[in-house]
Amino acid sequence: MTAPPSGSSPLQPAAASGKPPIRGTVLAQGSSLILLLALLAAGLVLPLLFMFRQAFLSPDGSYAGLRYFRAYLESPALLESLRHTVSISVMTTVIAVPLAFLLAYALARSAIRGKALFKAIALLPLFAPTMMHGIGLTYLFGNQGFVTTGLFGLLPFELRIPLYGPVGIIISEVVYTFPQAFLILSAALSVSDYRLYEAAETMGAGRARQLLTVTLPSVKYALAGAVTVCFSLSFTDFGAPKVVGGSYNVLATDIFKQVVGQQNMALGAVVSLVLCVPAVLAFIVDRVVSRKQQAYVTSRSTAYRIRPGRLRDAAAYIYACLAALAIAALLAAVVLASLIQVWPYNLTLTLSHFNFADAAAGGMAPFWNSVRMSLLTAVIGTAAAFMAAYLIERISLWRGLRQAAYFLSVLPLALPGMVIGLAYIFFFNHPGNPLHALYGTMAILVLSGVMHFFSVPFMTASASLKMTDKEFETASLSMNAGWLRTFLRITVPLSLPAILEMAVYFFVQAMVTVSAVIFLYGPQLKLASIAVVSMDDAGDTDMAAAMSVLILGMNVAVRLGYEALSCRLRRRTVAWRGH
Amino acid sequence: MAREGLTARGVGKSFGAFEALGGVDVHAPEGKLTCLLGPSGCGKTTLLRILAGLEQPDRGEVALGGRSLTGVPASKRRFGFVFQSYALFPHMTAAGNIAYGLKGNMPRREIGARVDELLKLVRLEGVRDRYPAQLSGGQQQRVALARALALQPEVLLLDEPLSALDAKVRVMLREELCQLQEKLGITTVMVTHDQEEALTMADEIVVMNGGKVMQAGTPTDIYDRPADPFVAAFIGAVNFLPEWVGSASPDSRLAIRPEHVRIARADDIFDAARRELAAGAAERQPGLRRTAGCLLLAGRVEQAQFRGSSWRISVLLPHPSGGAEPALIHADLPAHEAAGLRLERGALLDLALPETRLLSYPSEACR
Repeated sequence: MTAPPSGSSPLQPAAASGKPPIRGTVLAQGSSLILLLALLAAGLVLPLLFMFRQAFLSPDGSYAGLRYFRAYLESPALLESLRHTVSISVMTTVIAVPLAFLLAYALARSAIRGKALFKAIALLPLFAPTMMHGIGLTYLFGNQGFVTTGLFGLLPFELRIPLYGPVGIIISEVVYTFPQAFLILSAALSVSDYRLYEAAETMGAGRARQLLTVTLPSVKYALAGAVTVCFSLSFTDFGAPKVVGGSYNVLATDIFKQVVGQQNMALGAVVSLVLCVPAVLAFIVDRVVSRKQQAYVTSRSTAYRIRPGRLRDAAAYIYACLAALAIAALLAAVVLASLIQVWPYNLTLTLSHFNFADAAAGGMAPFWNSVRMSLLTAVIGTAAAFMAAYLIERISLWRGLRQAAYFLSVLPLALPGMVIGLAYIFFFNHPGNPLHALYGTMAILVLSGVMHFFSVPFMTASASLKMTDKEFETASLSMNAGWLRTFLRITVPLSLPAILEMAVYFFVQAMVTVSAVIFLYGPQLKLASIAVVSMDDAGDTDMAAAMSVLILGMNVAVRLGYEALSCRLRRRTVAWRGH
Repeated sequence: MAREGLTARGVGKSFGAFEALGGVDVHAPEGKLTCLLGPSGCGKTTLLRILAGLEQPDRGEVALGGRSLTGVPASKRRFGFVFQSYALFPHMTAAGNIAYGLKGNMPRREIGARVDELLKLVRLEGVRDRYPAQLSGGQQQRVALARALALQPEVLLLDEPLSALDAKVRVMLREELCQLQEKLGITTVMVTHDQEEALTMADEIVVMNGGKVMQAGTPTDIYDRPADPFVAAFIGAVNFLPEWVGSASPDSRLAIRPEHVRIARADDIFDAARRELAAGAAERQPGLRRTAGCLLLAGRVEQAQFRGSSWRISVLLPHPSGGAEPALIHADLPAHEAAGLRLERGALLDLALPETRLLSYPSEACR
């Protein structure tokens, strides 16, 4: 790379040109930090404050005190939604976490083949909007569903389940939260310490006792994390209840009705605060968990050794197949339905559902809007999250401000999309706000996307920066390269794998999200995920299916492109990465 | 014939193409402390794990008091095992770790008393309710020991139990471990790569290299009569003398430990020999001048290192006819004996090698 100019003494430059670059560095770093804080303030803090304030204001703008909180507690309909939401979340958690644990355990602790494939299928729901799970369920278990009608009449009996309502919502949420819990638990199971199993064995502990006394304690924090994630995700989800909820109201659909239907902003704000409760709890649990989990493995730990066990492998294989089959069937039903004339009466293939011309949404525009919005979110979000991580991890200015920036960077983990969307309405739609012009534009959609999904990529970047040695940067600076040059030529290339991963995360999340943007899209700026909701609402389920398939296809393509790219990157950089 | 103690017969084990153990026979006598000693990769830890049942041998068998242990899983052998760096359960207290093996094997009420007894045995009464992360390295080691002893095992297996500790604690625990072993009279096998640890602690030492047993015997046996050049060099230091320093047959080479090399000086018992040398009255064969039961050699000081209680003096022996490279020989001299000597580089010294201390090996083994 850049060698120091030949002939110059290593001691000389510091005296000759040391001072001006340092002052420039401070200036550049300081202004970057202020810019970041401004972004977090405009995109997060102020909107949240406005939403909080809204809960205490009556429509004419006068202070209403706790009137709307009282109204909430006195409304039987709203309280019923709360009960519904809690029971949905509890059921989802109780079902999804054990299912995910079993799969994670089967893949981590058995010697079966095709683990990569099982894992890929288990993660597939992450790439689809949650409405798609609901739509898939209607094709399988709805009134004319494939299973309901006894495989379209092939079987002599029918198999009806009361899909529309809690059952459908719970199944959809289980599919939606399963991959998240699976990821958390797989990570925890993959870092166990084999010596502990051997120690238990020499003291006479059998397999069952080892599971209870070694395995479970080692993943207990991950289990707590998975439980809170499943609970808060299903607590705040909007897509699935919208599609298969029927008349079964939950909090997320309530907010939508209060705000969009009845223009009752204050009550909407109150419901939003309720919506935040489990997410805030999940946030706290996650903070505690990530701190404690690390202490469990040490540098002396040895990797888990899978011993031969045919019965165990057979059981693991059967379970993995069943789990993969269930997920694949659900998504395959949607793909098939989007390619079939009329499910289930006319099973000839057609591409007509992909011609969205006669749908309420109007053509392919929503899809391309979504792609554009996701690309912008990926680029801007990655740059912002990486800069944030860099400024917080690496510079030594203003400790207090950096801590504030850190807190704000992880805070979005605790914010449901609906809350962000609603907060943005209150803030950006406020007539006195100079940023009012953003309302209804692409800019606000991108900003909401960047903020909503900020925390995970931010933590990816932090972890990557923590792993790369600070000495490289010091070395570059000592060779008299400026701070910006060091950042671009040293820091960024060393973190390139993390940066790609962050961008893909932003893109995929922005493609599937519906909760925040449903409040924010302008009349000319409909997004694909919103088109799915409105087409399904209008009864054009086949087109909603087709649009879901496009979203899923786009995400899977982007993900595969990322895998190919990072594989090439690994091969190219294996020489200097050393593994 | 049934032998008391723990026996491995013809035990072999390969990992893929790598042969970790090539059919070894090892006997750990009952009630004694046996050390498996060797450089890293010599197969000693694999052998210990096979003794414990944590690893299955490809061939051969392990027997305890003549009773074969083939097919008995680790959990049924009831051997105590102390892991390198201990593998304490991080989520259980010291007492919880020690009680782990007792649960289900002992009435619940008696467990508490037994745990206290064990904590007292390893002198850790005060840390009963602490977690491993709150214990020092030495304390963790003792908890691991108490945990291994909890079920009153017939055999105690220790995998480099002291290697993770700093030097001072290591020496202290070495003594404690020996006392405890003696007190309990438990058959013990300990793996170590530290020859000093093996010499001070063991009743029996098994020296291993390359998946084979090189020599087994008491510490003094092994130190004074190492069976081959590897053992001689691995345990303590040894000088291999150049081929021209006469030995009985041309196929063998002599060796001697540095502390057995004596320096001949005017005022000591070798005075006579020195005078003889000067007069040219001794045998003319180079390197084979003998007197008073010693081999006599002359050389120049290359280097002298002060080591506190002793000096290590490196002496360069020129080839008698100048035909080959000069050979370097080390001598360890107690500091008080070195007091009157001129030890600067180039000074002439006469060395005396007592014949009783000479070791002889086939020359091809010394390469």
